Amino acid sequence: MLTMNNLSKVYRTHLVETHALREFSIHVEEGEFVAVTGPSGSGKTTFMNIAGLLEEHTGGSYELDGIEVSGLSDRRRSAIRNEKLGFIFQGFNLIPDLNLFDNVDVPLRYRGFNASERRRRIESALEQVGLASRRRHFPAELSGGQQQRVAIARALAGEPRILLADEPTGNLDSAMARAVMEILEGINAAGTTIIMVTHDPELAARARRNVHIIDGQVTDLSSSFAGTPVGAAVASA
Amino acid sequence: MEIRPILSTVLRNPVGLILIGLQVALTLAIVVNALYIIDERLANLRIEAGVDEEHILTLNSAGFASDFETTLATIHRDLDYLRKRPGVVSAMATNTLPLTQSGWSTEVEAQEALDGRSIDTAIYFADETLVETLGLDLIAGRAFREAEVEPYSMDQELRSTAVIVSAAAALALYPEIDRPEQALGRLVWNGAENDRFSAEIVGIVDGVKAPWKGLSSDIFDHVVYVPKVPVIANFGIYAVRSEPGAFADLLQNIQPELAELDTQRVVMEPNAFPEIRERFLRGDRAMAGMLITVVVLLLLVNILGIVGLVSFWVTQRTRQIGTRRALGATRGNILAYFLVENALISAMGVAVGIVAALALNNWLVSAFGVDRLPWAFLVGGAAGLLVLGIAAACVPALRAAAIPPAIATRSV
Ligand SMILES: Nc1ncnc2c1ncn2[C@@H]1O[C@H](COP(=O)(O)OP(=O)(O)O)[C@@H](O)[C@H]1O
Ligand SMILES: [Mg+2]
Repeated sequence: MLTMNNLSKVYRTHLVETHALREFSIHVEEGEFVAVTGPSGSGKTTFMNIAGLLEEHTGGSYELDGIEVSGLSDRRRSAIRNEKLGFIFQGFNLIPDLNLFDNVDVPLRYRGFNASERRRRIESALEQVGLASRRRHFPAELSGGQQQRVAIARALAGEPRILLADEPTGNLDSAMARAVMEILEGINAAGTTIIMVTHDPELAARARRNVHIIDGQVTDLSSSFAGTPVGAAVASA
Repeated sequence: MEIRPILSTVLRNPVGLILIGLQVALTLAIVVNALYIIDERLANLRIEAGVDEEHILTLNSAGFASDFETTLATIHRDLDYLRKRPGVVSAMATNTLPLTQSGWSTEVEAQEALDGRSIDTAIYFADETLVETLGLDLIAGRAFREAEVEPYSMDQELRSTAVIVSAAAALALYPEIDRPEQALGRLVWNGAENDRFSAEIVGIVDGVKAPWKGLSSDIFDHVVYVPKVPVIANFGIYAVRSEPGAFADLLQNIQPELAELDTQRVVMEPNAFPEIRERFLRGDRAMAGMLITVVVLLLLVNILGIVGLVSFWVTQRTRQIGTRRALGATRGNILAYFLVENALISAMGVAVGIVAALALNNWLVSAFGVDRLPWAFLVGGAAGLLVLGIAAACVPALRAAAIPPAIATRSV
């Protein structure tokens, strides 16, 4: 599903060069639930952004769902994000001036679905996160946990191959965080690959596989339970 | 195209809509009316006086002997000199020329009775050389005959046997005729109630203008020439027409030459007709120039307002733009978003602006007698302002399109 080989990411400003990822190799199988942990500044977000085609890597190779993404045009990358990827952000990133229905509609419009197809998908996605009755509400009228559930619905509506969640529970209290985690587990159970960055050891422990990033490198690979059939990740030498 | 969600976003943030909408509306209302007035003024700049403008100059002289006979003799001597001078086509004594802003006017009638049917007309003095001296377009009849021309002093009536009138004056005098030539041989009446006199129309000239524009009457096209040599107190005015190529020489040398003929008077600097015309158009030019400045400034303010507000929105929505990019928007989608948003707001402003433009025009019509605004100006102005608004929004919209998708995760 996702394979990075000897990937590197260097941020260059005129003053400094930051090697955010170095000799970074990882393989994620279809259907996995990967929890990514690591200290602040270790490169977790950089990994997620490159995995999600939000940023380009500076070296090595990255193959996503059978496509080598190096050198793809911006247009093509946008289309892949739209069709294959779902994003969940720490800050929810809902559009404040759109109601829930229109928020979930955003990626579907870029996809070019017709109105009835969009409506069907929006309603079923909102249903799935338990907010169908609130579709005319605006984000500011919801709690943080509810907002994150709308964001999950928005990510789900496009039926992505991979869900990328960068600290999805970072802004939530533990009860809300558990509710969000349960939804993610349900989605994963239905077959969607999930990669989630988290600082919460309890949530990380619930994932099928843990990846630890330190100083831009995958230094520790552990499965929360041994013998998982899909945990065949390749560590850098 | 995501018009409905954009529209609902716009309506949820009415401050921007009201600011830009009102600005567009006001700009449209003022600019369209100003452009229309500018257009009228610029049309004035193309006015033709109906004379050979490029080759005519006037000369004023003062300080003649105060008795009539000596003055008349001086005028004849001056005209003799001018007519014989190389480079001069023709010359005559007159009172004034078209577009000079000063001259004589009177009311004349088509009938003896003073029953209110009359026209305002400019009165010019001319002799048998009128048509050659001014290069007039004589479309019917004849020029004055030498025998018809009489000296005239201020204390006399305007009595004469013959007049030459402009085509427009002929049509205005005799509403029943449909071609000006049909006025030939008819009588034009003038004089006080108990002392009426008439003159026969012997010639019709086309296109010649009065010295000024009437505010309410059509006097600008109404001209009556009387066969008189004006001997007005102690000064005289000559109209001189030069041969092509001799104009500059005449303009430079004619004054000292005439002054030398008689050292007992002052000959003023000659006035070239193109300068007379220039002075006549000064007001129109100034008005057009001022309004053009106003229009340019308004459009500039409008552009800056749109650039400013859209820039503010782009900055304010940086994270939203990054999020949209992350969710699959292409750069083109982001560009289109801001252009559509601006077009919607501008369109609403333009709709209000059309109403405001008509209201402003209504007021101008009743207060200043401006003509009614043609639809073409309104439609053209509305379309122009929409295009300008979209062009202005392009600048910040392109900046929005360049916001990287990583902003979605990097900004909090
Ligand atoms: N746009 C950028 N320009 C320069 N340096 C960056 C940029 N983004 C991240 N970094 C640096 O890259 C390193 C990894 O950052 P990040 O991936 O955000 O870490 P994490 O998400 O694990 O906290 C940090 O040192 C950070 O300062
Ligand atoms: Mg991070």
